[in-house]
Amino acid sequence: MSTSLDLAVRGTTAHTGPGRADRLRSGSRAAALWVTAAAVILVTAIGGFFLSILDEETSALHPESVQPSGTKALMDILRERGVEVTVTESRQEARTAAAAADTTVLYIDLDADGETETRKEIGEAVRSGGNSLVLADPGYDVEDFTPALRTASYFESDGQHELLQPGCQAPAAAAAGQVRGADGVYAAAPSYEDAVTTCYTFPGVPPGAGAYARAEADGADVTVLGSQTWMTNASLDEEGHAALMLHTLGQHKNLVVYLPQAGDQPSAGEEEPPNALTFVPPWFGVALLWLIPLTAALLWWRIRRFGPLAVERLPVVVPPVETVHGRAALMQRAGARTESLHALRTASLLRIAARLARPSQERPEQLCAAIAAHTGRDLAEVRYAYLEGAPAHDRQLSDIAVLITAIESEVSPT
Amino acid sequence: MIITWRFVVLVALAAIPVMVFPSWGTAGIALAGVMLVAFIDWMATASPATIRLQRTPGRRVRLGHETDATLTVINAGTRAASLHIRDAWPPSAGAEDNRLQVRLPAGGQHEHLTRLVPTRRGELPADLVTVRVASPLRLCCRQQSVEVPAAIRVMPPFASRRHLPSKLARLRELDGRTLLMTRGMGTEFDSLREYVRGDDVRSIDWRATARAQHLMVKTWRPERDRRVVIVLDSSRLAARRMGDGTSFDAAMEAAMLLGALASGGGDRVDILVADARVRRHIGPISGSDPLGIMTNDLADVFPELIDADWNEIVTQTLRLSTQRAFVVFLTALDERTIAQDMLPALPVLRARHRLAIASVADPDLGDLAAQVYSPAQVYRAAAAEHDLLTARSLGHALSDAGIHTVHAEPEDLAPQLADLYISLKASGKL
Repeated sequence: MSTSLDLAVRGTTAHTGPGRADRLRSGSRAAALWVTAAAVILVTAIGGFFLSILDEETSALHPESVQPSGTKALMDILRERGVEVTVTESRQEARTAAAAADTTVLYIDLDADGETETRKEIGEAVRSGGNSLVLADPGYDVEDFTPALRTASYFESDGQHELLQPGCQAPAAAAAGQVRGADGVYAAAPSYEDAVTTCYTFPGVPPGAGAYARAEADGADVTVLGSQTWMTNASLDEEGHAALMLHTLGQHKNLVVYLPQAGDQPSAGEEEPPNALTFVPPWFGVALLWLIPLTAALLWWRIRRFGPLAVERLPVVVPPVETVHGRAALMQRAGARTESLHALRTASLLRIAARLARPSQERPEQLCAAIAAHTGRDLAEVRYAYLEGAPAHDRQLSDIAVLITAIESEVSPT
Repeated sequence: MIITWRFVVLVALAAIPVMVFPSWGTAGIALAGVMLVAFIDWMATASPATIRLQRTPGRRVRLGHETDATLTVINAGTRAASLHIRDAWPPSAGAEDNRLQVRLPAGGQHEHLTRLVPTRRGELPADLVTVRVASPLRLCCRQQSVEVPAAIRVMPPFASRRHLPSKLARLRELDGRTLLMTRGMGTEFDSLREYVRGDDVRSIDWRATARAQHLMVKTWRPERDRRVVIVLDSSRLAARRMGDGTSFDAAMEAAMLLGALASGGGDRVDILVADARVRRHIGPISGSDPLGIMTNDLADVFPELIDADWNEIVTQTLRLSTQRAFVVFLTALDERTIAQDMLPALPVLRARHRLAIASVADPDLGDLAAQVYSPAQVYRAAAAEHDLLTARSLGHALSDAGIHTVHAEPEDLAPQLADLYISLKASGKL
């Protein structure tokens, strides 16, 4: 049939399914779409919530942290009382603020990111502005800030958990009364005994040392707190902690909380020997990341099939000799050696009888004699193979079968 | 939405601004820009529904020969379309070069010839035609798969065709022989001729001799216009794999050779394919090109996994011919089937017709029976020999009952069955 004739008779066909617009319309009515959309929104919301939690400030003593170890409660109280609280991570800012008038500087450095240089600068700036400096358990670093104080003893972890009595004339301590626990005790440096007031001493510490030390020298004052827990959200409402902290930090109109950062220190920028990564240009990382959308596009391009797989309807085919294998396995399991050999012998004798042109009704004994005569084999051997051999085990059976095959192969048609 | 390599390149190029100004913002804008361009391009693509298709299958072929199918593509849209088309056929249709890329103007028409080299007989239906229309910027495509009905008919190979000329020649020899050696029951009177020495004296027609004053003898020729009924069993036993094909394939070869031979010899042939019901009835074939009719009609018959209903088959066979006929059953020589299902149904048939049972011998059995070098092999050989002996004794039993049997391996079955037919014809037993 010619193609043009075929076209004239049968016409043509085209895709008759719903178009793109129809599919969009019917798709928008499908429940699955809305269920999926709801699921996506829900997952996004949950994910966003967790992300926002992760984003939150959780480091200890941080003025923005609402964790039990944070200090947001204290800062909020101070703000309510009219204190201007500023949080800074910049060394430059902290130094400027420390030198400004009417300012308290709270130095919090739990990760020991601040360097000696920084501490000295802050101490100097506070002295030059005649301001107050508050240190939260600085340990041996206290000597960098002021020459008037030194650490007297330092408990690593399990400090003092007892209630401590003020036992001094410092107004803050006197107003606060007893506090709980201390991690370090501080004392006046030699020749500064007059300028220093120590409070909250307890048995076992060197004489003149206390968990709260205040040095007033050079027009500025430095207060050392022997415990960081006094100002945390968790324990601010216990004992006299709140009063002590408010007195200490609320002396001036401004409070600057300085959290030193490792990258903002004098030695930062001059460290690190150059490694291989330093020589990689900055755009290389971007190009590497761009491989993700590129791979996605590549997959999308290659993954789409050019139409569905062609279907083949095959006719049924049954494996043929399965029954033979099955029967053979049954015979072997039952040890049917006699029956097996009988089949082999009968078949072989029938073939030989045909080849030697003997009548098929002939007795096997006579046929054996004919075979022996024809092949020149010993008659006893032929009779053993075809009549008398009774295999006691499979090996013997196999031997007799091989013998039968050998004898049969020696018989050539006359 | 299907994207092309151009889209991938576009994504790769979008990396340049991101590398120059590395930030998340730039990356987002670049990706969004790429997606927007691709989306606009996609929206501007013509619908594949505007592409009209038709398939024209080529001529039917014997298995092993090559045919083709023409795919006609017409762009019924208002714009030119860049098309990528896949003309899908099932694997056994052996389609080569079935993809084309063409740019058609509005109203344009293109014809694509897909070469087909089928590897299986039967009616092979075409699969879907998949059309991809490229977008204006070629960034993406729209794809649809369309059902365009067409089928090619692949006829059985009939490898036994090579036997046909020699067998037909032998049949014609019989036909042309002036006198048959024996006077069978059903031989037909042909003509009178003068007696020559060696003719059977029983053939002398005394009345004609008296009239002609010479010794005249009657000559006979093989009967013409007899009925031959070939019954092909398509039940589960015919689905067994034998050599290259199934048992059914070999039986079909034999049926076709016998059918061609018998109709060439002037007989009327019916072919019945049946299992639990009659699957196909071809005939009576007597006209020209009997092979063409048979190969075409048997092309798409395959065995099924059901048991044969011999009562039904015998009933249908009896209905076919009231006249005495030569009935050949092409079935499996399975002991239980023959004894339990077939023999009880046969007596009526045997009383009216001449019967033959032809079956395919499994060539694997001989191989299995020859290997005896380990105990497992011996048991297997014994099982195989048991099957062979059963078939042999079954053949003898059927012969004793007056039923002719042919039991041969796939490639020998057809010529042996033809020989049986010729010998029956020669001895005037039809």
